[in-house]
Amino acid sequence: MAMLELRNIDAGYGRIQILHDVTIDVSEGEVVCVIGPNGAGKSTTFKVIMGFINYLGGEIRFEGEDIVGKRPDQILGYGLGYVPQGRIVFNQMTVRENLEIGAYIERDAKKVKDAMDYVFTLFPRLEERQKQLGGTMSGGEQQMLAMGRALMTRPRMIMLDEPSLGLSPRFVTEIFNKILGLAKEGITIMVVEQNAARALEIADRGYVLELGRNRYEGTGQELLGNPDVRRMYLGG
Amino acid sequence: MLGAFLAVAYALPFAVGIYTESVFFDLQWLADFTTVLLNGFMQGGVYAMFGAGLTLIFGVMRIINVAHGETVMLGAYMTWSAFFGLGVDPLLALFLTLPLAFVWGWFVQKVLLNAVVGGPELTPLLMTFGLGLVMIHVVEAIFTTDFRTIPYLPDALRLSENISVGRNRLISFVMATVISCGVYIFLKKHRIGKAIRATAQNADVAMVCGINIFHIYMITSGLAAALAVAGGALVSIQFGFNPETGIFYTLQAFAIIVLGGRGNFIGAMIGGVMLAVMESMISFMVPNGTAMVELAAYGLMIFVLLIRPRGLLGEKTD
Repeated sequence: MAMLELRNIDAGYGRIQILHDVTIDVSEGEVVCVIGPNGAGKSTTFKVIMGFINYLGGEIRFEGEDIVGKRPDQILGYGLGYVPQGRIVFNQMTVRENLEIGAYIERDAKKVKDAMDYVFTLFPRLEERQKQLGGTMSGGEQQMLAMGRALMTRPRMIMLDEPSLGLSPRFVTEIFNKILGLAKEGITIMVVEQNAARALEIADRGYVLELGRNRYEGTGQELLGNPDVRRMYLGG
Repeated sequence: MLGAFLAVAYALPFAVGIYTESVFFDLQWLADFTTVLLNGFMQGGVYAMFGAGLTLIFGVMRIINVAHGETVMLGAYMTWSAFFGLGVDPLLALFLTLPLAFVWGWFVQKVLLNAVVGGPELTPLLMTFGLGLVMIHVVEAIFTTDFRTIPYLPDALRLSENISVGRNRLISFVMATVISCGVYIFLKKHRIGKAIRATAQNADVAMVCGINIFHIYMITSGLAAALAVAGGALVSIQFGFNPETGIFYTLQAFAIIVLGGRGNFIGAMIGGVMLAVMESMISFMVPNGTAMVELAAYGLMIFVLLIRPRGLLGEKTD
């Protein structure tokens, strides 16, 4: 059974419809990537799952539960974490405070402490920098902090919106390695990427969206080998 | 630039004083001046406290609450009622009035402001303007427009032969400092306080972290109302008040948060003290100064907005 199921989603901002009949499945333990050109509706897909934008029709289920109409702050409680685009951290709060906010819905101090240790093991740099203000860290470190924050409640699945955007090549490699590491631990991952080739390399399956519609889907290797996909989205 | 402006602004009362020959620089004058500065500084602690309430609302919701001074006024009447109606000491009455104030702020947020947060900025501005007028008229209907005072420890505490502070003012300062520090520590350390700061910095990401921001907005408004009502209680034991006094406190609160930097808690503390010291200097050295005191708030606010809109500690993004 799919962990996250999007069935025939229509959605948009106000009266402008962005997504048309989009269907995406993510099974437990999978890494699924969504690629496509600008304006394809990739980030919008996440925003409709999170309840940030106007939902017009279709079904959204997480672990079999209908999550349509839930507020953004309720989604994390289902075990579905989200890392928004642009490595947004709380600039005026320390690394540790950022992580504590990530664990806001967890009232058990022991669990928060364990989660903090877990995140520090995944991202040792965050432990070194725990007293530093979020806004003073480098882009790659902020991306790690945003990911760490989303992992503080130990969600079963996380959604990453353009995790490599604007990062130096060294950090891009590091971030993708971290994503693979999370997948190995059994966390289900859905990632939206501009960097299509890199994303497809680590993905079990991928979806190509175009103008808010499903265009192609297949395993990462299939899509990498598909001449149309190569020509249009992978630059050759 | 702002520093230069403030230096000129603080030198101005001296200049006027020297020009009108009301500044002498003899021992007696210096003692009086010290008394005035000390009293101004203590008054500043109270200003800082209700200024912090306004800055909290602005910082978290980007709402301009022009009914803040009316909440201060409400606090004064609540204290007056507790004192004359129930015979409760004005400071003990805080245990009664602050929870009520919190509920009031919570309720206003839930019923009125939550519906308009994030929309056009003018809507909450007009809404709170209307709310302030309603509060004035309701209080007027109950208490009339007469000036009220609460006689509370009016005698002065002599620090030396020539320097003294009002006992009520000293107590107000201590209470205001305790309350302000309490709220600051709450924002810094408590789980909800951290959520308030997170929401102020980025509401969307706060939501993603599982924070119900509308719940946070209600707590913020409750806290701000409690700070305003505490301010009202502490000014009511020092000054007379009537239902229209609130407008003056709204203005002061705005001058304070513009000076300190909108949305910055520490900025409001500094702004509050700076404004009160300025006011006391004007009333002491400028002829007919007590009538000119309001100039300090208006003048500071206008020029700071012109020279450095983000104030002393505000963020550049404004």
